[in-house]
Amino acid sequence: METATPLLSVRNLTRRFDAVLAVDDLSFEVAPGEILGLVGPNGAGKTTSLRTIAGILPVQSGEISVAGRDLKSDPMGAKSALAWVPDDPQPDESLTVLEHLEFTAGVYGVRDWSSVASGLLERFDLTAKVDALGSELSRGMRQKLAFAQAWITGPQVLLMDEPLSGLDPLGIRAAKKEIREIAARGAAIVLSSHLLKLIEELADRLLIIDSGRAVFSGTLEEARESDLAERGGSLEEIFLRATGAMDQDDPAGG
Amino acid sequence: MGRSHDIFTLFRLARLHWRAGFRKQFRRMRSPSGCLFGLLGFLLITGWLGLMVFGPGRGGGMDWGDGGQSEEVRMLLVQAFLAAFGFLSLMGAFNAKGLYLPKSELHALLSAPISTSDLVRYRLFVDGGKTALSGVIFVALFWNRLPSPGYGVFGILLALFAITILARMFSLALGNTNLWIGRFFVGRALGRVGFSVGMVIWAAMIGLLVMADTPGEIFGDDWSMDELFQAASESPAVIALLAPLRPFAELVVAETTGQFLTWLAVNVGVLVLLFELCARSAGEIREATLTTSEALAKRIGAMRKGHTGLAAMGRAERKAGARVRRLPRLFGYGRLGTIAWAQLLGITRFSLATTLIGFIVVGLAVVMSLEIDGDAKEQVMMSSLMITGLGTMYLAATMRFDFRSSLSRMESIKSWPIPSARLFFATVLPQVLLVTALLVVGVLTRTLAKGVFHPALVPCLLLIPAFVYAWVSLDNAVFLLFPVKFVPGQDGAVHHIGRSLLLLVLRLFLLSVAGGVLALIIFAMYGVTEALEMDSGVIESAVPWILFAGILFAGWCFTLAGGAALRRFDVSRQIS
Repeated sequence: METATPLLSVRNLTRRFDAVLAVDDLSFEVAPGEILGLVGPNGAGKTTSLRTIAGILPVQSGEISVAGRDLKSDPMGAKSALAWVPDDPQPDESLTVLEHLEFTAGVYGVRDWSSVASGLLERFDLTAKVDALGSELSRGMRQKLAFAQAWITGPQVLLMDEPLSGLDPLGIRAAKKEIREIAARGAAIVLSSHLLKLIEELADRLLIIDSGRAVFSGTLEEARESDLAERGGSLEEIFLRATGAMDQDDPAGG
Repeated sequence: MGRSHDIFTLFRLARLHWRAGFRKQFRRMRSPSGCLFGLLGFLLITGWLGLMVFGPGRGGGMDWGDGGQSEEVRMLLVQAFLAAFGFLSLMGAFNAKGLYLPKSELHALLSAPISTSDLVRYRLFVDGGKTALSGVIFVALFWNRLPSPGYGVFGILLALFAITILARMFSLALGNTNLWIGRFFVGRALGRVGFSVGMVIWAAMIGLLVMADTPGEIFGDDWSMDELFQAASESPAVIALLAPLRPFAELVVAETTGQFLTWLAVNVGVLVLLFELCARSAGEIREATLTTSEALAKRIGAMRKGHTGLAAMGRAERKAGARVRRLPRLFGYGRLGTIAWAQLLGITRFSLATTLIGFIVVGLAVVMSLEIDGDAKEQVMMSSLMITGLGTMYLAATMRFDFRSSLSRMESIKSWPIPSARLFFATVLPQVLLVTALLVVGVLTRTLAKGVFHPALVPCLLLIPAFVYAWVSLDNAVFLLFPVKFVPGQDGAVHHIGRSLLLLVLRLFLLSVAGGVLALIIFAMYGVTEALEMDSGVIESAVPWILFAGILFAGWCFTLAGGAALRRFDVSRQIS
């Protein structure tokens, strides 16, 4: 996996909002079939990084390559290979669930979408809601629809920001299974979440960022072997140490 | 917690809300642009009110204090105005069965140990504040028509308070499941009742306008407004119908201090009585309150997403699981066709009422254009210009099936693999087609009604979609550059008025630049024709096509600008 050409490559990404430095010289790569867990405290720059990679925010400084296409010089090519699951999906209120899939397939130029859509509707438990409008969906259903919309494009790179928010236990189980499967089919995935248990379960590698900077990058095993894991090696401890929160929380604990 | 404690806590909450509203308004003034918008908004409002009080049209020829009218007629006019306002307020009550509580207060206040009566008192207190603010407009409107404005102002404000309380009593009765009326209306969407009544009144007014060329056809040839008022003021039925409003009307037209104090005391007494009656008769209104408040919160949410009043109401009132209309892929299966199809679905599913109102407005423009005289060519050109100009301005402002109603989805939109200018074009296209269709119907209706035909009609009809596209694309480009979420009557109204004014000026300026360039080209061509002593007929026949090409070019420029604005749009920015 490590030798494969990365599907997603981010180099020296820097993003400012006026005087605020949201992302500071961030670099990482994600190989085909790999799941990168992106964690960091609130305001660390996770969503800004993901939005920039998804082409939602312009690249101010740095280079982003998606499936070999440079986001700056070939934004449409890069976006076509990428799918984005936001933390609070806002479906079109006028479209039914099925029409959302038809629409997404149309926008991404997916042919023969219909059979794929029926499979997705079933897998994401949306069959009963097929004729419901976007405005009628609960939080969990909106999240499931966002998954189905991302999946129907057959993405090479998948960016997910807090993807399990609002899902019930059954939905969470189904979503985790789908994420593993799409990775197994060769997609490169960046998964941002505050649910450290989810990251531990799914991620092959970990990227911890704080104040826009990468403070740790590597596998979970590498993190556990590092000096971030003196107390038994839970991801929570690693996260707290990496972000300096452990010292504030428990100064005696070192 | 005692009852008196509850109510004063609630009054304090209302005061804190008002203070927060003012604070927000002032916070918007911290930046130079905020200051400019706020100042412009303030100047526009005060200028408008000042014009009503001191402007040349003040009094409007209907001076209630003079003008040779009898006291009965004067009284009738005041009562009729109050009755009309009261009727509209009661119609509004159909939209708000029970009590309306804002989203932030709904569950907290309903679950708190506060009696229903106190909740009603609290909302009446808040309503009173809002009525006082809107009352300023009425006061300005009638200032010069009052015999003693200093006294009359109190009459108008107290009457407006009373009407507000009556409307609230009506909405409480409609939502009170202890009463038969409340049980009868439970679960029914009453907004449609008020809307239908309004539509019938509109239709009747337009029908009268269209069918009758002169008022004489309605009232008889020897009719006179004064005689009509005199007859109405002497009619026992009219007197009985308007009698409840008499005490307020007496205060409005009070001329002496004695009359003023007497009627002020009576009115305050009536108000206190109504206030307490309203609070104590609330009954079981929790179910209706929840339904109403959630529906209104939904509507406000839809308005914050950019939908105008009726479209927002349609979205809020739609029942979950109701049947949806399907649409074929009219614009093809490509990426742009897919986006235009989705926009068209939004129009067909949520815009029936808005389109209906659009038809009425275009109908009014058609009626106005019937007055245009001249030869056939002049009539065709001027009426097309009038219908297209007025119609485009109104329809583009109210039918917002484009980026203006897509603010909440900008994150998704920006992630789509479609070049921004093309995405911009596909998004505004269905809106342009809808407005164009309404305007073409209007122009053709005028032509058929007058029976005046001229070949100039063809280029006029061709110019409509080009002009509408140019305006809508300009509208959207400016919106994407300076996006705003705004609900009328909510925080930041003054600021928003100034901002709207400035953006309107900017749009008109950009359109004028485009028009100026076109005019220069046409004048230059005339100049060349004269210099070369050529036949100017060639140029004259080419003018519409030059205009057509020029407006299309302007639309193309605005599309590129819109695409650039879309690329520049920052989804991380807090928009309010």
